[in-house]
Amino acid sequence: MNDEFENELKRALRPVEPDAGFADRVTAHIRDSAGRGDRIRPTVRLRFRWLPVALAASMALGIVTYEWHAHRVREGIEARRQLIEALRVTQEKLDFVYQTVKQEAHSNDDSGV
Amino acid sequence: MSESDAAPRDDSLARARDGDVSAFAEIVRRHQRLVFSLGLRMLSNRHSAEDLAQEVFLQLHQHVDEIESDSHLVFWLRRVTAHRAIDRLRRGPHREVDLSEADSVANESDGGDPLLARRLRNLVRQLSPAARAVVLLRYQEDLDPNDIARTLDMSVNTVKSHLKRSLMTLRTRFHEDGQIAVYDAGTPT
Repeated sequence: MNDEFENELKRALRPVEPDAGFADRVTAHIRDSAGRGDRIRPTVRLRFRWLPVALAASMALGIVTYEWHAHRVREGIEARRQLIEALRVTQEKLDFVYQTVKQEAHSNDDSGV
Repeated sequence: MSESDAAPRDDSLARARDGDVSAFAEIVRRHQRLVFSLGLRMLSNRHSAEDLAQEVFLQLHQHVDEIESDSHLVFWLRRVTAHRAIDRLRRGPHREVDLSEADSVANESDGGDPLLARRLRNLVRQLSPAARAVVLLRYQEDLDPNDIARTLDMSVNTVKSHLKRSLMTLRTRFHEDGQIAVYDAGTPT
């Protein structure tokens, strides 16, 4: 329930106007921060300000991931090539040993030992 | 209902959402009284109040796409202004100026006693920031406890408690100043 004290409080706290030109100062601030013009879309600009950054980050991440994957593939191919080379060398050596042993055996047979 | 609520509806909000700065200026002019007054009564300093009001309207400009209606706009302005003012007061020392500066515009004659009004405003600014905001939303903006609770993110009981204690404090201090005989609550002469 309102009483006289509360009514006095309401009168004492009635709204007051700011100094003249307040709205002009606010809009001047807005224009200064966004360049001159009568149509400014700060909300759109702010809302999508992250978009180029996100796109650039996604592209960078994609490139790094692709390069890492390609690097791993190249490493795999190189490892397989080295393994095949090692097997080939091993096979050549085994063939050489086999031929040598075989020739030794033939020469022993021919000499009647 | 506050003056802001009573303002005629137009399409300035829609045009402001579309980036029309002159429409946004109309919104500022229509609601500057609400925002500035809340800031002034909270901070007791015209310069700080104007600074705060500018911040609030610049924030509004950034978020105008989120404002759904004129009533939402008024709610948003009260809420942001009150919270920002409370934050400023809690952040640290605040330059409060003599009453003559803060009241220079407020004391245009409207049939009330300007000296009494000044004394009451001085008492209000001695309240804690949260209690001050509750009292201002109640007696300056004429909001009921439910709306104050929504605006300040408080429970309704907390708002009622603030109001009760603040009024008691204000009355007591007012009595201590020796003015009780004229404005004593509930004891009409």
